[in-house]
Amino acid sequence: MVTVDKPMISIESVSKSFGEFQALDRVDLHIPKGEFLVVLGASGCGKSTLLNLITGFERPSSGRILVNGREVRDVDPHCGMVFQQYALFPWLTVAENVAFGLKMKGVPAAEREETARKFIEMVGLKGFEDAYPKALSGGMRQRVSIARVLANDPDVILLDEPFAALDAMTRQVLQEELTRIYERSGKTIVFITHSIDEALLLSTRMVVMSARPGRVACDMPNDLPYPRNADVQLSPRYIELKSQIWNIVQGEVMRSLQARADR
Amino acid sequence: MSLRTTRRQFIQGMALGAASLALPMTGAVQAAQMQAIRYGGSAWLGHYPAWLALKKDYFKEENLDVSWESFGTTSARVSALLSGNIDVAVTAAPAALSVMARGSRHFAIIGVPENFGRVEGLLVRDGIEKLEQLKGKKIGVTFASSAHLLVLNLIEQAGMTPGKDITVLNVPAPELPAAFQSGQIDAAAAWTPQFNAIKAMPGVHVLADDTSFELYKEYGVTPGPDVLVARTAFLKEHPEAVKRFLKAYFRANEQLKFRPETAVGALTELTKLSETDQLEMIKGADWYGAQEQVNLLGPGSKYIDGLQKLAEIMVGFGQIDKAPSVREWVDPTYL
Amino acid sequence: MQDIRRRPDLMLISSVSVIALLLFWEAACRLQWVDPLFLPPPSDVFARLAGMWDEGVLFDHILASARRVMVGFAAATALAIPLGIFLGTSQRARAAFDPILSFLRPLPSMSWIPLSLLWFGITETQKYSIVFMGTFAPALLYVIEATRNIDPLLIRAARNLGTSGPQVMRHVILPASLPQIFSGFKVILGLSWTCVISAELVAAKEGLGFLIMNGKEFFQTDTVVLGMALISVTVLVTDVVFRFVENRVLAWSR
Repeated sequence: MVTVDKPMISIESVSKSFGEFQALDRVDLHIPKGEFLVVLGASGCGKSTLLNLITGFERPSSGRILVNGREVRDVDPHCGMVFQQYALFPWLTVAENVAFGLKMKGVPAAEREETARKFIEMVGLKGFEDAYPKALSGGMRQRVSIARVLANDPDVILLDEPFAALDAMTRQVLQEELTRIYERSGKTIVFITHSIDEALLLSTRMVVMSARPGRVACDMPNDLPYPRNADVQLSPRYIELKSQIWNIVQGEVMRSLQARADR
Repeated sequence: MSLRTTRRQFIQGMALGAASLALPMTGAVQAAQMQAIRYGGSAWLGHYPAWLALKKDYFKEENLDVSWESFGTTSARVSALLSGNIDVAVTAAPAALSVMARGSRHFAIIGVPENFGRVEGLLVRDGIEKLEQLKGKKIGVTFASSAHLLVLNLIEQAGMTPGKDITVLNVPAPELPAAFQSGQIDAAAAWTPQFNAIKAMPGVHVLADDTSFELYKEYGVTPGPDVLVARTAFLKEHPEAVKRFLKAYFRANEQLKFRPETAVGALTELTKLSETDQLEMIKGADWYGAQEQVNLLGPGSKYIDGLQKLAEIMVGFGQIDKAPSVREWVDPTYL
Repeated sequence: MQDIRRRPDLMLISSVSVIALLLFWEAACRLQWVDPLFLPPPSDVFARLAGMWDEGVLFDHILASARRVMVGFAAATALAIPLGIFLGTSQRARAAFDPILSFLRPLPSMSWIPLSLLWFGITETQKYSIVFMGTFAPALLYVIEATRNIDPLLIRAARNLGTSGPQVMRHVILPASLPQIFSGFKVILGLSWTCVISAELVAAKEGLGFLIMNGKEFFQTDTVVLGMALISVTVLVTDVVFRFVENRVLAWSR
């Protein structure tokens, strides 16, 4: 369910440069609470930079970002990030990893354990509480990563191509799980991907970004019904949306290739 | 001797001693007439005769080209002698006895320079008149030295056990004055110049010196007497040169005994002491002239018996494994 | 060394080589190729070992040296870890400390002996201080290096989960850098032994370094060789213990 009044994330005329290189150019984006936003685009279009600005890992060169009404000035646990490389703490067990944010907040041990257990079960890893990350497969590690972020109860969850390093089958399983979690929790999600199919599968809204400099090229809602099972994936509306996105993306790719050639 | 020199010489000595095998090298013969002799010494008073003879050209007059090699520790000097890097040296008898205990025949004792018994001893603060009063306290001394042997012997004579009744700490000689002054040790056993330095401190007196050593009354042997030693191979090859060496050597010795003021100038160059201190140092020892050598080293001499007893004492303290037959190493034929 | 345990043929070769060496050494001495004063035969060394065992002094020496190593090593590493993590994280702090560290690091432990004798006298503290001064700077540098080598993504993830600056140092940087710290500290442990031995050469009344020094004074070359052999063995033993601890603490990184 998407509420429209005050946006959860407000990206107001944000530009970001790294020296000579301009990664983002006056991006305006308002993301309401409960949106599952997927950001699509070719490499170098500033998708990751955008995420880093939202989490506070970087500061905008101009413009500002507000999360839940407060301006982002520094790293904030209100935006939990799931990294492509998992970033699990190898010296901690699965349960300890998931409970990490709670421990830092000072939550007592018994309560931490219980919360961790709940989320470990939610991502389908019941029984693996005492395993170490090195013993887990990539897909399992990503699940731990997601559970860790969820346990911290952030307002926003950001995912930077989280399933890119996984095989197709694992990816599918995790996509379904993420969707389930989204439906249950109602959190605001910003998800980056290369894959149009993934965008269509997960999002309630899609943004295509153009490259060099990064700008919003296209912003469209995704009205496909949940659950997005095989029938939905083969429906005419799916194909229609896909072909729309495809054209836009293709156009952007051509443009950036052209720009590179001209240089 | 500064700590730095001691350590450097120790490392040098170790390298020399450990690296070479027991093949004595013959000294290089320089000019056709002058016989070269390499002497190993230091600023210690036992080396005064050799230095004096060198500086006053007594050696030159005997057609000897004596070169001087400095060694900070006795063991370094002895190692150099054994490995053939020097030909003659004065060393403390315990070190010589240790080598003899191993059966090594590389050197012989050819003379006794002096007796420094009055400038080595145990120093305590006023109020302590008997060794028993040091029960439960700490004595600082440099291990494996004559003073160490004196301390062990004094404790034994008083019927006590070192380690149990009195703590004996290993303090390098240059550190003794500071350790005593700061109260880290309650008593210090030292030889000159640290002996003089501590004695000069207020409220300090000598509890016992070398003359209290068990062997002194009967044999005249202190815990760590100096002996003049030479390489056996060198003795065999140049007996005449050795005789001339000893002639010049004891000439200097007698000068120290009878006319010490005339030696001060030459010696301060070696020791860097002030003239008054230097004179005091010379007078602090009893110098043995050429005549006395026969009594000391001749067959049936009490001195050699005393050295034998010294070896037995060292066995008793576990410092050497068995007492060598000291007389076999004494060679008075060059006197 | 680990592979060799699984290869009995290699173990056999090693054992035979050691025995052959000992036999050759013994023969060389018996046949008077070498003067026993300069190199004692292994039988003499063993005899000395047996004698010291009977007297009950053997372990006094070993434990004295081992104690000095442990205390000095513990002090140096305990201070090096938190300070190193702090310096590893703060560029400004590093800039402040760099000149002092660059000055201290190249100083060999032996060069500290005169000052330490002045400051601490003839005490055990003086020995501990030698070990400390010889190992602190390199240990610190190892920790700083380890801190700077950890995956910055882990720190990002931690901060994203709401970890404060000091908490990051304690809960992320410290455990993440432990593997590299441990391997650096293996070297430091060996260095500690070197420091202890040189400290004991100067002003001790027991210990393995003292054993060597005292033996040298009395030309008991067999005692000197025994001291050396004991040092070697004891260092190896402490290495094994260290490795054991490392395997337990760092089980997660294997």
